[in-house]
Amino acid sequence: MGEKEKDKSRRKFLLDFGALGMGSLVASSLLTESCSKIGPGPGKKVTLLNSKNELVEVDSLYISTLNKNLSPNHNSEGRKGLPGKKFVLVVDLGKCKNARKCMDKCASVHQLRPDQHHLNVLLMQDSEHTAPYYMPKHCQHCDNPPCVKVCPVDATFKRSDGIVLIDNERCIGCRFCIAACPYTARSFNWYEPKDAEKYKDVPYNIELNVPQKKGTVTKCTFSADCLREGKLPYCVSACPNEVYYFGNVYEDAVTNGTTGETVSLSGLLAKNSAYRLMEDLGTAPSVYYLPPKDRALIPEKDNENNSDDIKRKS
Amino acid sequence: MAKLKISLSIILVIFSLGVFSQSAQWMVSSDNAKKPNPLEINPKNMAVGKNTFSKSCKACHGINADGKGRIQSPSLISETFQKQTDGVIFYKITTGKDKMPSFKAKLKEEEIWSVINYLRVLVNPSAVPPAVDVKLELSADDGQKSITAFVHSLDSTKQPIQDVDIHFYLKRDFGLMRIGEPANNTKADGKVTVNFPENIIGDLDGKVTVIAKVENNFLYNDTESAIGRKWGTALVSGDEKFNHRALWGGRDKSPLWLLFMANGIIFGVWAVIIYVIYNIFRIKKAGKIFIK
Repeated sequence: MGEKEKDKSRRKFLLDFGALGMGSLVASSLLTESCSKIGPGPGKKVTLLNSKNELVEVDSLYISTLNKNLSPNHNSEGRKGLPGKKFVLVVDLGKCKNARKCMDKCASVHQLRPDQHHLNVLLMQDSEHTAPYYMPKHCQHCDNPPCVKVCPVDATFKRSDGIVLIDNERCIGCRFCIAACPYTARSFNWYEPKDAEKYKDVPYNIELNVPQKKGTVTKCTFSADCLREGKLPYCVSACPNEVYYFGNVYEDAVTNGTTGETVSLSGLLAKNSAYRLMEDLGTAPSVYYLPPKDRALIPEKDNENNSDDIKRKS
Repeated sequence: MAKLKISLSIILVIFSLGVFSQSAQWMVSSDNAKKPNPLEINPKNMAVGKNTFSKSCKACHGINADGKGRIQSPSLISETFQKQTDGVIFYKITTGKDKMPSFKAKLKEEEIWSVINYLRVLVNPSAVPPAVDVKLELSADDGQKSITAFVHSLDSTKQPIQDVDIHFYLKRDFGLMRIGEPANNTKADGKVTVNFPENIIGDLDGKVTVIAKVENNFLYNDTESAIGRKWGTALVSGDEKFNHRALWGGRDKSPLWLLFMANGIIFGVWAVIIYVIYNIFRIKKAGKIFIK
């Protein structure tokens, strides 16, 4: 009985798949046909397959070709990585003043609830007698990523350009990766994501993690969608305080997101004695920190955040 | 109780807004306020001012200095701001307050005075003469690995122009990397040469694009020119460890021995099953023949 049902569903899948393939074939042939004819007469109807998988009739006058990549192709492309690049982020802790523009921008593009973070600015104090400082913490995009090793369904993966991404359509929500990550960089969609209604019909983009799916894990993507277009990540270009440098390791150059100044990566790291988080774990992160020297703002021990917390509790 | 809280917070918000909008609240001693600006408004100082502005001020105060930058900040072209003396503005830039950082360590005094002059000119553009168009030509010397920029007038006489500050850049993935001296002024023949730095990584063939710009200049309008040369080291897109086949790699990166073994077991078991079934049929057939 069970065997039969399985067989049925497989057959159905094959059927659907075939229909879809045929549909797109027909549509593409129609599309190319309609495009090759320049200036077709009015009133001529053309049948097209839209992104919702419906066949629609459109007057040929209204058809214009798009140069945009459609997202389904994009997603298989999204697993590969950009050739000749390996991305690196440098965070200058001395510059961070907790403006939180990076977090706001990140949450707005990645459809995150207030309690979810791809990127979090933390108030750090290493020991009792040292001064506190603010530390933006992203996914470290490790070269030896513990999260990728534990994924049982190949949902999270490391691309050739060093970015660790997650495919929300493959993720089964086991949260092994959350447990494996030493940097607590991942968060889980326990509830319906923010603006779920608004993003209902948006095709899934693996490089943006949008639309988010309840019951799956979400993480920092290094704004892989921006990088594909040659732009700096959202957080880097939103920072008003010159905190972030971003660039390509192979090219040995990083660009500051605020001033647009481009400097040599090796020079920057050497001059400021940069370090990486939890080096002893051997995760080999792609995020470097410049020590919080000459701070632009020394946070007080009872700063706004702390007092906010206290306020909420009382 | 809740009402009281709300009204209190409203009062607090209004109060804090008041503090921000009224620059008079930021007390500056009269000594500091009377400090005179040692620099005159001329195109050369203005260029320093504009360069400094785009490097240090633009991010928060906006490209037009109207306060519409990445964070909400006071407009620098408003009347309230402009009626302050140069001394007051200088004091505020050097000391900083709240979100405004102190620029004492970051900028030279002369750069700060130039920025103030630049802000004055923003609301009064007629203080400097209008800029003219120039042409910028680049040539490269492959032996010396140097780039020469030649600035001349637009007309056919190609009159060389002296004392133009040229900014040289290397094109990188996300921005332009400055090369050459802090100021590269053209000489009497309208030319200036910079040496190509060492240890620069180009594209896969080692090709590097050098861009020269006339920018932030108040005598000449912005113009730029680019030249490509194979002077860099070829980019080696790494043989990264994480791209190798490993036990923890994804579907496409599993080790070959594992693929052989797992698939070998599957094929082996199925082969045995199929062989058994085949033989059962053969036995059945043989039985039929035997019964006949």
